[in-house]
Amino acid sequence: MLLAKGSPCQSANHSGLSPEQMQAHLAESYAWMDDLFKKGILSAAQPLAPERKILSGENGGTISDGANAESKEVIAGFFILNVQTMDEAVSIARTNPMLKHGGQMEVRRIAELTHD
Amino acid sequence: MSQRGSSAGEVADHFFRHEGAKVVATLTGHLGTHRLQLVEDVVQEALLRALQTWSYQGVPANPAAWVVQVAKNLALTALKREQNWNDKQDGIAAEHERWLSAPPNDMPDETISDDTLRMMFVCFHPELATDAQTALALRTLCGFSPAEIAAAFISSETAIAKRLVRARQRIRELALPFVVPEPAELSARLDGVLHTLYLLFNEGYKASAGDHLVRADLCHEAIRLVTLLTEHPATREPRAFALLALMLLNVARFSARTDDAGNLLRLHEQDRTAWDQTMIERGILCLRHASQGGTVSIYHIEASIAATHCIAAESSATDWPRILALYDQLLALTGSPVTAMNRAVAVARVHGPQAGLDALDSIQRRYLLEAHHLYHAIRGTFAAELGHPKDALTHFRQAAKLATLPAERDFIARRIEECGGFTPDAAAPNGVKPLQG
Repeated sequence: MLLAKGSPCQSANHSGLSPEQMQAHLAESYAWMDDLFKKGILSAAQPLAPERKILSGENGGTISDGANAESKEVIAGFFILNVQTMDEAVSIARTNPMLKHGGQMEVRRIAELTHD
Repeated sequence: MSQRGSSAGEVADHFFRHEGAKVVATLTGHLGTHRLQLVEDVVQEALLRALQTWSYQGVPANPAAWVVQVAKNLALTALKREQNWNDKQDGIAAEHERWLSAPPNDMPDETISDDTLRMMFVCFHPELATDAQTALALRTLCGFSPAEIAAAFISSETAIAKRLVRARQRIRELALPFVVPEPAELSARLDGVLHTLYLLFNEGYKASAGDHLVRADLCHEAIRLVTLLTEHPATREPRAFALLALMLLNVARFSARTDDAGNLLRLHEQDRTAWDQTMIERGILCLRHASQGGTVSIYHIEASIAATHCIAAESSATDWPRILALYDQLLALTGSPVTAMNRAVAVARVHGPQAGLDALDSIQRRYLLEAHHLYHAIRGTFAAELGHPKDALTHFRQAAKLATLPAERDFIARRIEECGGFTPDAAAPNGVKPLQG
């Protein structure tokens, strides 16, 4: 699983994409995903809306909106890949266009109950 | 992937730019010009969310409605937060809240263009300084980012951002209404709007300073906005058509002005087959619309000059007597030394280079031209045509000193070579400082 972090328009030295750059980035990102879909590598992908509630305490008694929603740590979306190894997943993650704009990709293996 | 959009990752050209600008106009129409900053912020955020969501799921069937809805939701949240922070402020008026919470309805095109037109009269308000007007227009009406505006004006992004903040503050202080001016005031206000659009276009059309692509965009944005004026019943006046014709007839020749290496080309060196004939035809048609009125503006004359160049099959077929007559008219209207200088070129084409020189010598307030590299380049050209290469060289060298843009300097360096002189920076004689400064 790939976790996309941070919005594509925030980073220390980035004042934000212009509307034209956003449009170019949209086409590029969609093409990236579409290609993986067609190759059967990507099995699911969803963006996550920025609003969030963080529950803690017994019965979720404490609810917060979380720290700065613009933090680079906030998960912006996820991709589930059909690959066998961490290396394959990493090399795919490396090609994600959002990395160019200050985003981060986290690669995680979905833990399984049984092993071959 | 449960709900992939139908149309993949593609939207119409400049969708983010122009749709963003439309939503800014719509929201400002409902919430007031004093909320322009808030409106721009929520629209920017809505575009970001569109990018984020659509890059996973594809573009929705009605992308414009999607952006409007998200922007409205964000505006409602922001206004409520504002209200909570300051109870004494009147907060959100009930009608605003109702509109912002209402489901999206397809807005008729007329409503959108009405809002954009009103926004133009806000951005081009005479109480705002010209540089504030142009920056605002590019940000608010055209959806440029501060970085893109900075690239166009060779300024820094921070400076442009500050200029925009100050302009929005000024709009707030002046409580500028979001309206098309009343008929009594409209004519004078339209003059101001057209003039700023003319400046915006010229900024883009000027020789190759700054980012080339952004500059071409400036021209096309100016054309888009003037087109809107010519389509709206309140503003479709002959002078608006004349300005549009002027822009089209110049931009049609935009790409032919330079060769592949970016060198500026003279009119007779340009490849006329590279001129955009469709745009020329559109320009001529606009000029015809423009002539359906009693008055003649400088736009009418400048467009007619451009048209005369455009319809000549080759440079030798140019109707210079007609161009000279048009310059006579233009000079009578503007009285500007720059117009007189351009007229001298037409004089030389009709009556020979000596007459051109005489015309230059008789220009009133000629000292204003002395700092202009073109003035010296034109003198040099006339001198060369008269068979005085030495004089020509002196003038071209003076022009080389004054030219600021690399393309202009290269252009003059080629003229100097043609006169048998050396380009100053290519071969400076020993101990002599290169002329280039």
